Amino acid sequence: MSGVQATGGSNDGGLPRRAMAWVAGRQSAMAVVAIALFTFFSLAAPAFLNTQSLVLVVQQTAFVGMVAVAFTFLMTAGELDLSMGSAYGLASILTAWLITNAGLDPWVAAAAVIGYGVALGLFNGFVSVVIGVPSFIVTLGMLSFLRGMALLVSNSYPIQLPSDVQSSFFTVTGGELFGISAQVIWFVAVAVIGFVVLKYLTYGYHVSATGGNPVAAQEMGINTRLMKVSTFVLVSVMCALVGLIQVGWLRNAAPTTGSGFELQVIGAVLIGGTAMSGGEGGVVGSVIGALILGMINVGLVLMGMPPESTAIASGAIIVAAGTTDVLIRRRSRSRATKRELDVLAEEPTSPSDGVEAAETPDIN
Amino acid sequence: MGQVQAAPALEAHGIVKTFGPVMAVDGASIELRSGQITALVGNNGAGKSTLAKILCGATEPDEGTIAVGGQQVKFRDPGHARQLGIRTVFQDLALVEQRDVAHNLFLGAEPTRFRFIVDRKLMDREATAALDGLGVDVPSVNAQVRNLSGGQRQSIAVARVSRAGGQIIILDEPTAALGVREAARVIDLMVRLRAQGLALLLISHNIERDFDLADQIVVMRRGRTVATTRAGDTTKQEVVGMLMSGGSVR
Repeated sequence: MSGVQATGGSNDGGLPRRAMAWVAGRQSAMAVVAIALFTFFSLAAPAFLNTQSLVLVVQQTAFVGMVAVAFTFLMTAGELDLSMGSAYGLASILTAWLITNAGLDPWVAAAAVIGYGVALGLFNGFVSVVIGVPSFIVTLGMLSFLRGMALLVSNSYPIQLPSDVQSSFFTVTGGELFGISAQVIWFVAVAVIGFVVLKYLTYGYHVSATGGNPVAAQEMGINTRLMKVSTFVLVSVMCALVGLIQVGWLRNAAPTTGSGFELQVIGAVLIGGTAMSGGEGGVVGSVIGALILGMINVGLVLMGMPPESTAIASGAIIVAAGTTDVLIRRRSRSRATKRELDVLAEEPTSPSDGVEAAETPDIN
Repeated sequence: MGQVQAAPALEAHGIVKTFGPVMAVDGASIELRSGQITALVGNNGAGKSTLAKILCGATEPDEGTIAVGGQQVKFRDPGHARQLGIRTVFQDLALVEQRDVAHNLFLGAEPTRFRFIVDRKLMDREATAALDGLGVDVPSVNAQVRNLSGGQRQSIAVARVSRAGGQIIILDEPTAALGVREAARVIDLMVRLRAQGLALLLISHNIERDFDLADQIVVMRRGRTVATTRAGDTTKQEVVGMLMSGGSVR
């Protein structure tokens, strides 16, 4: 999305100004932060630089990153989903339960779990968009509901897949290709597809227009409800997919899987510069945001910090990102206002002829 | 204008609309012709906005007839009116601030390749051509709308309705809240659209400005169209007098 980079006048040429605009741009600023963090951890914890650690960072990032890509669409369309962590948790429990307890073929179980994702997204979308309950409320309720379901289905115990179950499903979700683990390949694929769809396809244009100005979008014939509901489905299906991959990879599922996951996803997307208010979002930013959180998770532990420190650091960086976002927007808004005032100041104000004075209250 | 009087692009006769006990429009008539700017003037509460909403299909009149190009119609909804080439530019613009100029011009009708891929180059090129053709001056079609001035934004909103096939354009105080130079851009755009043969209805408070611009002035008072005059035949003072007294010149 060109919108995310263009904080200032990207149009008024001049290399220094453009360079300034680039630095001020959100995604590039976050890329700089990511590189700085990478350098910092490399120096502070030498073990960070070895291949194993880096693979761990990307694996840590993969699940958050995949859902963050989908969530970028939802937030760009002007909606919110807080149920992602539980949606993911229940997806993994369902997958394990269907394979272990119901004895389904893993692929059949996978299809059923994707169906669960579609149904969940349709439900969230329907209640939020069609009935009109704020998505914050709907998905907050679902966060609790789905977690409860995961505990109920699993009897609050982790489910271990029987070791004799064999399927190509486990290769696709938990295998390796050229030494790269499956979830990383899935992550890259989702990110690339998400990037292309949001930036280049009509769907991405319409989602952005829907979040930016729903009235205008609808006026111009865009089906804003469809746009919003479809992004809810996108997010829930991605949670289901992540649950599947998690089970395929570890061959077990815990009812607590994914608790706090929604915070990581929302954090990654916010760090990436997608606006809370809708209308502009970038997949690249969300991926960088997920990588930043992944690096913090791995890096701090490698530095010998206690595990709790990662939660503290993630929380702090999310608040910092949100604050930066508000400040940047306020500055660009006050600049725009100033420009308008300058224009008005240099001209005499429009002549008025006194007819404007209201003689009767305006009933129109 | 019009030695040979073709049917008006849009005409309404005997329009009545009440809201409860309030008579918002009480027997108003108006005729909009292609290649003309009609100014609809009147005090607050005179019924201008209600009449405009009736003309664009947003409000259903209680009585009266509406005809488009001589064909009598009854608008089902604003979409129906849009299909017949009637477009409205509201004061609150309806632009997507976060998107660029080109996308706003083609909102919901983006040119595509293979149906799903937005043809960005073609969109930029056509947007540039459309804006150049209308004399609308923006730094770049890739500029975000929120970084533009009020006049530029208003011009984009107007350019969009004409690009989207509008033949009859209703503008609700398009120059309100604009400085003189900014307003001049928008007025220039309206003049160009008139030259292209569109029928424009300009809802306005500002007689000074619209007097010279309009081909026809319709004065509304207390829900009635009290006078329809050629701008050239009347003086500003007479129009102001009509607004005040409700007297008819014609």
